[in-house]
Amino acid sequence: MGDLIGIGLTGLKSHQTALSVTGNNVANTNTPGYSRQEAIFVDNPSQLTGAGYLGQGTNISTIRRNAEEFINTQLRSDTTIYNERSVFLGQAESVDNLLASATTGLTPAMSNFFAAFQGAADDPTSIPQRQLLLSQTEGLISRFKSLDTRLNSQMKTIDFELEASVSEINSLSQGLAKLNQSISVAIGSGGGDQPNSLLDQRDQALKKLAEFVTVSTFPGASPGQLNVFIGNGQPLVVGNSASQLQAVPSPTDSTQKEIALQGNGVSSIISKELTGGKIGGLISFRDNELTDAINGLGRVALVLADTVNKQHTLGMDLENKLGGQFFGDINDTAVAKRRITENSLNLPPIDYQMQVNIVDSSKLTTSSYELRFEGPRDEDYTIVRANDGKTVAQSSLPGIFPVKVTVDGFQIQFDAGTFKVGDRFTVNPTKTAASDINLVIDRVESIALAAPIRANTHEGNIGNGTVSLGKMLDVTNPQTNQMLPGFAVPGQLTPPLEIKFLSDTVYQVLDVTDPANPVPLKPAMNNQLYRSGVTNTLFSSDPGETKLSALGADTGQVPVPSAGPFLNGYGAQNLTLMTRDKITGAVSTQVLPVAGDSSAEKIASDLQNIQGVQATAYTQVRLDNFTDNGDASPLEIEINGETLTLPAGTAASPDALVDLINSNGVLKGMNIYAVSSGTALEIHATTGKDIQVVVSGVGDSVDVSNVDPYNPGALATSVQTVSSGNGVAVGGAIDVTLSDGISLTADSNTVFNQSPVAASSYLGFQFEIKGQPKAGDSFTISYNQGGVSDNRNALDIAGLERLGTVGGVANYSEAYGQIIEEVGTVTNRARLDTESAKALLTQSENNRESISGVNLDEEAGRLIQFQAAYNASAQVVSVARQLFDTLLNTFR
Amino acid sequence: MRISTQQLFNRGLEAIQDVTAQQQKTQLQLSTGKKILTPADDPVASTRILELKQELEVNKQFQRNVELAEGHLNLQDDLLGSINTVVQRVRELMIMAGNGVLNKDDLSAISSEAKERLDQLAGLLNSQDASGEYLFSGFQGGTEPFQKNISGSYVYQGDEGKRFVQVESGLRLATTQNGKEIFQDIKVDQNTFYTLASPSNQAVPAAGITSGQIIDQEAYDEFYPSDMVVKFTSPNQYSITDKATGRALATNQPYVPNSPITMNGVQFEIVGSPVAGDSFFVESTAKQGVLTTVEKFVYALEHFQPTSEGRVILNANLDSSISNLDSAETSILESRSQIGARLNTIESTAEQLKDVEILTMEILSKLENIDYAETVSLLSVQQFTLEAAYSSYSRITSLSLFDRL
Repeated sequence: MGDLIGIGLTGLKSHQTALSVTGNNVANTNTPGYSRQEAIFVDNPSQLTGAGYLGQGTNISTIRRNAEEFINTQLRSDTTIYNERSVFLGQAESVDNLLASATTGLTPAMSNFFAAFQGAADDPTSIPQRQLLLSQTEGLISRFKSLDTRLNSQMKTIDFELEASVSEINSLSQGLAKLNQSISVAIGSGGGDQPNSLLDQRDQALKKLAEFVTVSTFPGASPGQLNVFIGNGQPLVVGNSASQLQAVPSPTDSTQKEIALQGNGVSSIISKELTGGKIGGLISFRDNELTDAINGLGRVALVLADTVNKQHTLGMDLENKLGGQFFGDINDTAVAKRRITENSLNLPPIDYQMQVNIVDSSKLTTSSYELRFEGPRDEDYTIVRANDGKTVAQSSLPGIFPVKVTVDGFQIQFDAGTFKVGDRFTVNPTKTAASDINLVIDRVESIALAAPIRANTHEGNIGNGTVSLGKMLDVTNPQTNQMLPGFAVPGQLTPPLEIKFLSDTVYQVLDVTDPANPVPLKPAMNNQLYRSGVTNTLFSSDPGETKLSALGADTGQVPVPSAGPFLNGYGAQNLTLMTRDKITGAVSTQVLPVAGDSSAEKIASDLQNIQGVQATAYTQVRLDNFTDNGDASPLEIEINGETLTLPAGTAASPDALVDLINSNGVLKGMNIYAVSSGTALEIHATTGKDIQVVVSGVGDSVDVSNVDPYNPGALATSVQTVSSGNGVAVGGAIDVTLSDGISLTADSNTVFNQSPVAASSYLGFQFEIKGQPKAGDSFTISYNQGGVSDNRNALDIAGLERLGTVGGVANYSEAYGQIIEEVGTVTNRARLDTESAKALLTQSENNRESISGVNLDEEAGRLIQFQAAYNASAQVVSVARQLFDTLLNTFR
Repeated sequence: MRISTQQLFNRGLEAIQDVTAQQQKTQLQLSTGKKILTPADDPVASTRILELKQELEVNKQFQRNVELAEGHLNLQDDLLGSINTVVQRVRELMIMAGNGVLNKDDLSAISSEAKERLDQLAGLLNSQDASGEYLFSGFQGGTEPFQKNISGSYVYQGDEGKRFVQVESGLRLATTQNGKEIFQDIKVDQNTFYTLASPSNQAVPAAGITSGQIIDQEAYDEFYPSDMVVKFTSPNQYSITDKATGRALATNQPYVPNSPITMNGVQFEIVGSPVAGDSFFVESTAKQGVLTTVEKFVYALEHFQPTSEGRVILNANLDSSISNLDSAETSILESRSQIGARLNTIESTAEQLKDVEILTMEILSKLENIDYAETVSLLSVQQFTLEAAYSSYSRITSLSLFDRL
């Protein structure tokens, strides 16, 4: 009976404990991280009696926590993923709303800006229209700046959130280290029993940590301890000790924060290793999408400023001045220096002087770049594009400064510095452009809506040739950045030009600085061929084009008259043409042998066969001092085999001969014509044939002299008196036009000089002439003085709106649209990701709840169950007592 | 599966929250009428929407340009109409003057009306638009296009500029015509010339050259199309050369101000005090401006000699004047028909722009706007779901075994 009481008591005690555990479960129904506990009943060891083994009641072996490590790990990992996605989504949505909204986006301001240019083009003299244009420009600029500020302040917000996350992680890591310690102590003193609430607390702390970053755990050295690693395996808690994280300024960009791990007094940046969780989401959004959006916006601003500026400088303002910059110079020194920053970890001496200039805005990407000196030698560098990790340039500094390296539309200019292996620099070509854009035009009069050049048809023209309004290409030479000579003097074209038709097919370009005394243009454009029926484009679009003329010792000479054969006396020489390939820089050489006494026509046509070389040849000779001794044989002249027979009784004179020459069909076929000045006869061969003059008539003679085609008014330098029975052949002039990268040298000074002077012939504008002008017709090209009603430049600027200027394909709005589309796509994807991560997290939470969660109905049931057992155990004790009483009463 | 009590509450609440969020989005869509609230809702469609809106903006700008161009062209058309009326009146005067019975007094009456008409015509040619810009001076909108020179004849001071307006992405339409092409570049029936002083002349005040006249057409035809340069070698001596060849036509002639200089059938006067180096040009031309034609008519009337010879000269002059005026009228009419053609282009462009606008709006509306019926029914479904969620939540959570203890 004593046994029965004992057994009953074990039941009472155990169920009381079980009821307490259930009560504790009920009390902790809403405690986060609480795991349902269970009292584990074990029956006491049986005792051997006569009747066999008899049970000795029950006891609670342990109070077990219902927790599955596997499910907790899964829950942590799903928590990490969900937090990463939802933080990313939050950031993405805010950019998404900012960029696309009609009130905050760029598109309406951009439309207004170009509409204002159209409006100004409609009425270029209107001051209110110009004022509107300026205020719309300011509107556009402020929109760029406010978008940039908003995006950058989001950058700052992310940095603040990173700092906040870091301090939370630090307090969590300290808590975890303490929990580790407490748990190992508790296990020791509990003799192996698990400290359930401490374990729950640790799991809860790990789950909280998993919100910020990926967490992985491994059992520690002491029993019950967990070592905690974050990201890709950075140790945060090892046993009882916790490492500290720190938000530090980024070495590549001091305005940004990176996360560093402190350990053993050394701080190392681990941002790249911290994946997942809020931190992973924030860093990933900041370094990819947000940076891309800022750079993309900057690129639009930069390309807009560059293209509008370029076109604006080609214009003329209301006060007859050249346009100048509209927006601030994109390569302003301060801005250009800001585009490259040295890594703060570079070793001293920090003495770099560098800048980054934009050379071709259409080639810019939205990436940043890293310039690395990775050795083996100090001067070896590579440039890596950040967004795809590609090496875009790799070379060595030559040791002398400045050095210029051009990549993807920008140019790094090294001016000075001690560059060492390990040095790094970050290049951000477009990052600050949206905040750097500013307006430099401050007066409405300075807006260049007109073009600075105009053409005029001479009122006396007989033919029906028409000249176009003209097209501006440049005011500065793009190769040298120097002002083109034509625009060097403000308010005028230097020199004003006249296009004078010498015949229906040949024209000459004259310098009409003095309209009463036109002189050949320098470098010469003397014998230009005109093709009727097509549009003839005047002047070159090649900024590197040069012109030179044959000015050797044998040119411009009238040979000593002889009885024949008639040779022009041009010495033989070898011409060397060197062509430098624009892309590869490779030089190819071609030698053109010129035989002695070749006609200018032949030399020109040989030169013409060489790629990139244009040559024109023409011959001019002056005949005067027609001397007839009066005998029976009249003075007779033969030109290129055609005898000019004057009517009987007519003396040979320039006026008489000019008609004979101009009406001679054979000479016309040779493109030979003549002009008379009354006292002298000038004979021209427009294709550069030698002009042969043979005189007959006993005792008669004619003076043949050269004409300097580049200075027609000058006195003849070579005169020969050709007397009866003799003749001369006079060679022509050759003008050569060389495309960019071609040079010409000779091995003697006969026809061409050994190194003839090649002068740039790039004017920076082009005109077109159509129709059929007649000999004597002319067109003038002058500065568009007073052209206030001209809107050509305004139309061209307004036209930029639809040109593919960004990345060479997209117009400004499309480029901006691309940013929106990218952010929109990312946001959309983030939404789906967040939803699926949410679903997975819910699933994991459900799994955990189904194991560890408290169900009140279940606990109510258990209460009833344990209460019943408790009551029953009490009944057992009561029965035992009754049995005892029964036995006592028996003996009474 | 075990369900914990917390789970029971949380799940129900989450479901209610989800439906509420959906309902709020539907409500926002209904209140804005827009299907896409942020680009993330449909990145592709929203980029397209942005493009279409941009297209609409450009289209609107083109429509504004079209309106402006129309205004400009109509104004010019009206003006050319008025100009033509005056030209016709001058032509009537010319025909009237050809009546042989008119005496010198009658002719001088005609001449005074012709002079009035000349000034009226010049006034019309110098018309300005509302903002004070001269309509017919090309790019030189601030310069009066037809100004009297030192000898009192009208000279064109504008240039050959033409202003264009973008009315469609591929089409720039001329909205102005310069005075030179309408009123100056008019073919004449006889070779003629015009005179000008070199802009680099040094005399102060500048010396001038009169418009001159042909006194011997045959002699001039022989010289034509050469040009002459009158160059002063000293303040009282000049030489004349052939401009193209440099051939001397007359050397070191004594200069008497305002006295006629005759050369190659041309007569003109130099006025003022030129200095050495000053030059004047007599340029051949096959064209004559409408104002010059009227000036010559006035000149002929004023210099009419009441002899039979004088009558012959007058008649010859009237003949060529009428023919030149007819050419001028043709030129004006041509300009008007060009304007008409452009107005037609503008009209069709405007229609096209309107069509494109409507089409773009339609596409935009399809992409952007909600289907109200669909969205409203969606809202009621969501409403229903939410109500069901509410009632089931309260029912489920009100059950507890503890109530039965």
